[in-house]
Amino acid sequence: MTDRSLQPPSPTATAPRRRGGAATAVFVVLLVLLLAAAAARLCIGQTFGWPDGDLGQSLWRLAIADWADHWWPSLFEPSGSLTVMDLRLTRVVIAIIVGASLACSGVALQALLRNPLAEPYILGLSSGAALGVMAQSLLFYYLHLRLGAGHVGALLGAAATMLIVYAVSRRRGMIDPLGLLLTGVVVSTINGAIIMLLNYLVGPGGLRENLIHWLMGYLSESVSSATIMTVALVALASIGVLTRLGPAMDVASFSDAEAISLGLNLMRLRTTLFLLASILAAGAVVLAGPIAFVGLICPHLIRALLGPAHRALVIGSALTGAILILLADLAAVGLDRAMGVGLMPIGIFTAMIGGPVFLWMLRPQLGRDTE
Amino acid sequence: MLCHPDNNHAGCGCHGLPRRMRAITFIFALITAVLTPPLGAETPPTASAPSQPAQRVISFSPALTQTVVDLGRADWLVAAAEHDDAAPLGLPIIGNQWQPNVERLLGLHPTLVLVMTAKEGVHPRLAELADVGQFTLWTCETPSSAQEAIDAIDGGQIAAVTPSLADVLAASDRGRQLAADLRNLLRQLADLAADRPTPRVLLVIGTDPLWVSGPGSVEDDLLSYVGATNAAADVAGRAAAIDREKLLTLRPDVVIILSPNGPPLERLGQDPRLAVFERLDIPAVVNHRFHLIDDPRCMLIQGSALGPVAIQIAKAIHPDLVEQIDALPPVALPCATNPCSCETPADD
Repeated sequence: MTDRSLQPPSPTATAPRRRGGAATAVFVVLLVLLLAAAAARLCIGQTFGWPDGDLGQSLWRLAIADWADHWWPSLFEPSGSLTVMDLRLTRVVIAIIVGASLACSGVALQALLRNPLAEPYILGLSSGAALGVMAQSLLFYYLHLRLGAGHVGALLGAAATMLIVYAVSRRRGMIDPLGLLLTGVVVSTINGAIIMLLNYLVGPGGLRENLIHWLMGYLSESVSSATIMTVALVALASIGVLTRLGPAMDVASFSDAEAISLGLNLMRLRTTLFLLASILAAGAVVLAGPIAFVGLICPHLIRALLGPAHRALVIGSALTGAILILLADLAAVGLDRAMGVGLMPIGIFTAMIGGPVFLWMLRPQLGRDTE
Repeated sequence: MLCHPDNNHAGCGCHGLPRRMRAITFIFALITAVLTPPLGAETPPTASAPSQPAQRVISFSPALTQTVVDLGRADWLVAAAEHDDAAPLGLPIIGNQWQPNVERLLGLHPTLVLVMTAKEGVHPRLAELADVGQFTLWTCETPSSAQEAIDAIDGGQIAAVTPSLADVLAASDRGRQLAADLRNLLRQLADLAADRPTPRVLLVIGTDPLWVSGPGSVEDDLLSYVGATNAAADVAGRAAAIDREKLLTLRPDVVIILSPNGPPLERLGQDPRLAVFERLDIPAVVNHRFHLIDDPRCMLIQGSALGPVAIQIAKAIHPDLVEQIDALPPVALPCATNPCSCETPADD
């Protein structure tokens, strides 16, 4: 079963039809697990049990009222103070958006690069976002210049990195997968060096610590509801487009010549995949900082269960990613509640959960290589 | 290498040297070898007072550096640790206490190295070098109370710390004066705040994620002197990250943000540092009680900087006592070179 997970994706046309039923069953199970994880997270916080506040009202406030209030302040009555339900629900929603975005970004990149080990941060997006956050903080500290609330710097940094990587890796008007990979690694290294230099030379006390914690990945609570919902809508639209591109991604897993001979516009597909992967990863970084492993293991897990068809892969990975981040947040909050260790970054838990799972999935492949 | 008289002596250093001269050189070298302690020999305990005043000081802790400066020994500092804003400008950087640049450190020939230790203790290489007599190593544990921080300066009222930092810096009198001033200041602040309500104060040391001062820290102890309780008294450790839900349960009356040289605080809803507090039903938000302490020394209160920082915290907590606090006798600190300020956000 797991051998297949590390093979390049093959076209849907060769996959058995019975997979449709299996996929539906897997989706239902994943959806149930997602709802269970969300409910558990709603029940565990500083106190155990269902939190104060009305779930429907909190959903309305987060999804509609606050967002509308940001753009049209006079449309609704001003919202009052936040309840515990509001706070927990916000974290649940952020976790779902971040997990789904990272996992789908991983699917897109693995298809784009034809590399099963590709993940969002290989393109330097996290380091670009971190550099953006650092630049935003330094501008604020030294020039009192505000670039907006939250992590606008993360978005700008990720976008700038994305443009540089895209521009450098284009050859004859087409994205070269190998060039993209190498450019991403190099740009990521350069970004990392600039971050270290700035941190060493000019980082004021307090800011350095903030950046270090941010780099470990945590669900930000300083982003506004409007930002959360904007990222959510963009992520939803991107995942929708990715799902529609599923059959095209299946064909793109052939060689370039075969894919083009089958009528696929490979250049357009690769550009679209690159943009979608970048947008999804940048959105996740804005909400939670850089979190590793999710974009890597979720597609592999679903590929092991459902095979390489990309449409199912996108949906299944989105659900798995959301569950993984929810479980990581649950672990962070639960550990703090049980042992009083403070709120630990969830990046630690995604690596602790994801790492062993990935190793377990790699086992057959490693065994075959050593024989 | 032994040098034979018949050899070609080029480069051996003894070419043409008279035999009597060689004998004198040999005797001189023998005397030097006898008088010089062998490598690895026992040296006096690292915390013993040197017989001569230290002339070349390296501090690996910014809080200790600030104390050295306040004891009038800034000109004795020959190097600074990374990110040590308390050290005079232009000093060579010699890494930090976990990764000291040993080669550079030895090149500076320090006679006294100051380290404030945490759980991990002193870096083994620093301890080794002190053992072989390269320098005197003065260490103290990271203080967990204001009293411990002051005791490290003058040795304590019952000689708890020997020798004190002031002793090893040959500034015992000044150290005693400084410590006495600090103790007086805390006592007077406590007297002033004695009949006041005791607000729950949250001391914020990082805003994204939210990091707060917890129990067992000097900040936590300082609050008890200035008539307040630490709202985060039940969090894990001296500093802990908390979420907004925890913030709701802590219900601070006053929030004080410690941000060295931080930009002025703006209103809730406009300042990104206050984003985590927005729309929370806690007294600090309802009453707009957010204060910024931007003094460059506000993170160095494990040393002599605790005096001016205590004054600023007291003013933030008790704005009605500002005049009385300003009228308190000054602490023997060169405050003019480090302006003390405490800002409050503009009212809505």
